[in-house]
Amino acid sequence: MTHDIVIVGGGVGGTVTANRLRKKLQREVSGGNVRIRIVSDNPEHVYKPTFFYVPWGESEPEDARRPLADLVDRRVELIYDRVTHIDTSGKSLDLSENGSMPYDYLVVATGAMPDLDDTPGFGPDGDGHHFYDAEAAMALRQELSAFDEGHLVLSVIGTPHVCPAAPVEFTMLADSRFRKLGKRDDIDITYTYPLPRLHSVGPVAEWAEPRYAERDIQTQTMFNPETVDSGNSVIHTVEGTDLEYDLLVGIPEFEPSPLIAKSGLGDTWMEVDKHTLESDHAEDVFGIGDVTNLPTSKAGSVAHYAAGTVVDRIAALVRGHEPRTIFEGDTICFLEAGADEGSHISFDYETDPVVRDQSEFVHWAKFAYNEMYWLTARGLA
Amino acid sequence: MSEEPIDPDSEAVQHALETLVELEETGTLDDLADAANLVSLASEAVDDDMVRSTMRAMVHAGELFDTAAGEPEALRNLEVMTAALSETAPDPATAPDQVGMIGMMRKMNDPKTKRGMGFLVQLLHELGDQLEQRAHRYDFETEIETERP
Repeated sequence: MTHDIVIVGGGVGGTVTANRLRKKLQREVSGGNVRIRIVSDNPEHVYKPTFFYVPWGESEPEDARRPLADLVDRRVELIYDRVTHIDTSGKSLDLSENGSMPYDYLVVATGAMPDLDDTPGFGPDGDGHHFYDAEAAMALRQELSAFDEGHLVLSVIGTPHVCPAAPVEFTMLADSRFRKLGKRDDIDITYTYPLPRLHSVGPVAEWAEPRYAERDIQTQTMFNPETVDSGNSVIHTVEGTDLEYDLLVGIPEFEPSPLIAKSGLGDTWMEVDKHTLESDHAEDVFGIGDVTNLPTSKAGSVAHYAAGTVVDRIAALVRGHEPRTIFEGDTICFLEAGADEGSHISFDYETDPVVRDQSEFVHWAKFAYNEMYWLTARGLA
Repeated sequence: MSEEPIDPDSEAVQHALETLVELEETGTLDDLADAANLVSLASEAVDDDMVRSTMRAMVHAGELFDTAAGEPEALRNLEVMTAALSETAPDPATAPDQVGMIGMMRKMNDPKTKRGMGFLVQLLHELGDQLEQRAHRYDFETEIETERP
């Protein structure tokens, strides 16, 4: 009997899982006993952290993209289609263009998308900028290249959001870049956050506070934008405060695909066991990456490490063993401290976050990793 | 980082000192100091573009190695090919004699040449198969086989 393993999503989690499963189950795949398939509605794999550098001209949108077929092992089937429903009792998927397909084991890795329509400052009337897709990052580059004076506001408008370090990094990078250009005296920078501190991760908040003070970056906490009046360039908050801006860079709230709720896999985010990554609501269904409700950050490293757990568990099930590998919540994020220095933070379910000292080497390590990522996607590193 | 003063009698400090003494006694500390000078030089000389372009080249090489690692049979065939290449003209300056049509027909009766032809014909067949499969993988409109094998 052939075991059908289907992976929904061709992002970090889906691609790494497919390639590592193929390596792990080499014998079974070669013998025709296991078939691995990826279903993705995007024929291109997108490494979104690259977009962070696009507004500053340090990366181009095409650096973030590669055809899935270039990255996924040739023995993994690629199906370019959209999954419209998951029937977890009948163990099959409905596809937009290609009918339905069965699965024995399913991995859901559909990620998280910015909810721009419901985030103040965005949508058709908004003038907020962000850097979570190629088009938006290029539009922000255009704005930044002409921004010589005024008030730049980086506002974390919605939570949860992906890449938890990005807002802090963007602010530090903006300060550093404007200083190098000799414009910093003419540009005010304000960072806002919806909680009573600068970041939801305590040590990151403690790390950022003195550095923001040194760099003359203004901060506002407990700042929850309710509406953004783009005509007058003013943010109005739930707390009753107003903040004027000349350039607004907002961090929108993220949401999962509606497929999750529609298929009974969770009310909003996919609900999984934090150690086994198995669905709380369906057998032989696993979730990895940003789509899940895991009690940790929505970061690429989480998807990468979680993929290893899912691969081990599915391989054990296919071979008739009891799965033993569990996910411990491993998370690691780089934290750029300007244009020339970087730090990193690591934690898991049991270990509190620790922010390391910043250095030039960690900054280079981040640059190096962004290139090395393509090896990670192939399941190599 | 902790702001608390360091206790010189603490276990951590004593352990660190023991490690340092051991490194000094084995001469490793001098090597590390030399290495630190190299790191310092790198810190002065390297910039973002150098890191990016060097890594990009290394990643391309890594992808090639990864592909090779996933195709052990291809590597074994490659060994056959490289051995045959060596034996074909051990000294490239004195390549084998020219062969015309008649000479080639005569060579076709040689059992080893026939064996090589078999390999090449099969290689052409598999090349065609792979090209077809690749075209399929890059065809975003291709319909899928929904039946189980």
